[in-house]
Amino acid sequence: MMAKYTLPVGPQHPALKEPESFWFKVEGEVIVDVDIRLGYNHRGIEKACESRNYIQCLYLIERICGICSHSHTTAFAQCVEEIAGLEIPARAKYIRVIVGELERLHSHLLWLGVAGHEIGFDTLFMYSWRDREAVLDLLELITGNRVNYAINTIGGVRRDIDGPKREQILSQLDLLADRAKFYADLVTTDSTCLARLENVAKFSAEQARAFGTVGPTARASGIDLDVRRDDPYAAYGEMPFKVIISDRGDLLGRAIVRLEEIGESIKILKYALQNLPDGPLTVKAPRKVPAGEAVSRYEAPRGEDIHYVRADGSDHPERVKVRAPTMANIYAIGESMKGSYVADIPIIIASIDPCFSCTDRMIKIVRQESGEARTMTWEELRQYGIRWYQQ
Amino acid sequence: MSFAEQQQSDLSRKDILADLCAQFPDEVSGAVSTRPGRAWAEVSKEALHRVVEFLLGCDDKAYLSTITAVDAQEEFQVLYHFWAGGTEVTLRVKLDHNNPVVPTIMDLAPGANFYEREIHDLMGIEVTGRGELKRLIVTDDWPEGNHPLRKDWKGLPGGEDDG
Repeated sequence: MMAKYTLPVGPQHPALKEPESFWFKVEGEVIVDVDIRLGYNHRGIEKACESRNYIQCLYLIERICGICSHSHTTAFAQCVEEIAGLEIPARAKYIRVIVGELERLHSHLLWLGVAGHEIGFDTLFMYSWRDREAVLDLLELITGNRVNYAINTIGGVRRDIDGPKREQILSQLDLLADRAKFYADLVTTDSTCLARLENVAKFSAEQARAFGTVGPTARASGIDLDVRRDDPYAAYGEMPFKVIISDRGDLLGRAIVRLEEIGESIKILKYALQNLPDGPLTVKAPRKVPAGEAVSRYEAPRGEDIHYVRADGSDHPERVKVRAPTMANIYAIGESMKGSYVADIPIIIASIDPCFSCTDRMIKIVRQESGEARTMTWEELRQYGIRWYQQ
Repeated sequence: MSFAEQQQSDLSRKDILADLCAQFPDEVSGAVSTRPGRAWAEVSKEALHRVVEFLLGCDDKAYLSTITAVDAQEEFQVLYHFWAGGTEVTLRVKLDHNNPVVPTIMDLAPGANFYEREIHDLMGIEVTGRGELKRLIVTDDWPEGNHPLRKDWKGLPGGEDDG
């Protein structure tokens, strides 16, 4: 029998937006078990919110994630607005949708680039990140920032989209739609993509449901869930789009779902920009929020983002709870890795949607019986995966 | 029919709260719907398992969204958020402040694993029936009995006071 190895990956990890630690038990090349540790990036934001007023909380919550900051602030603002009984103006709802969908475009294009990089397809990475720049320019045009847009406030949005801006955004959308179609064709026909994505880390609908998987990860396993359609918030009840489902359950399915969602996001953006209602941007929000509680759900690029806020009548919340989509997906993805190869670790972890912010990329391979250790950087592991598939 | 109307008619929203109260007349109390798509109910920890089983079985899309623990000073509350029957249903379990213990629901919803470990680490809620609650969020050398989200927690003993 082959000796069992434990292969620690992380906690400092380039493929996820939070540092996390995976301990893989491997038999030869095959992963037989995985243990996950979180918390390396736990900043105590929920606790910190309890000592800040609602507007300060909003700016803190903007910084939970550098990629889906709008998702978090919208989910939080919706909670507070529900407790305070505020109905935000129609124009503000539309602007929240527009920024939310642009955020989804940039997040999905970012994901595609990272996925391409992990499988050794760096041309794809450079193409998709070039196109992502167009989206970031539009976000900067609307909000003044490429990331952490700060468009939301309690009771509405802080900046308007005027006529010239609207035209400028619309003029870019056709280009992006073409590019999304090009990538969708490429990923489903290119031999490199198929070799690395098809039938890897399969995850059935039953598993996805049992583990509470959300977003594109769930939809790629045939689960028909999308908060925007099932529990409409902002102006999504009026937006024309269809929920993209794939029953493949593998990495290719997750890629197809995300790439086709780009097309749907563009449909939403066009509709919202062409039908942007007139009117004010905010309603006046009270500084002190009456006692009460609310749960708010938001379809972030990675899946359902859920916030719970409990107010006690003062100007700061009594409790804020945030469950980001990665928390729902990470445990499931660990389970889906069992039976996969070591060479697939980078792309499987990347498949639930990564971030490129981490810099420390150490992988340590420890031989259990002797304690003898070998250290690989993330780059070496990535190269190892690419070489392994070239053999 | 406009697209918006079509979207609305596609919302398959059952009156899950009425079903819940009919099924568990003695176990469920304080059932209230704050708006369409939001329902709240209180259950005892003894009945929790049965009620969760019912909720997860009520349609083929039902799943556990997350678990929230709240320190309400006089008591702890554990909130189980489910998406079930087209509604976000929150089950509230009230616990003694001196002895906060809930039974696990991991056998019904395996995804509860991390959420139960999270409320144990941060709020000190014991979860029974699932074996060891391994640390998930706090570090391995984190001192016992320190649960940061509790209202009376003022920082680690001997730690820096940031004023």
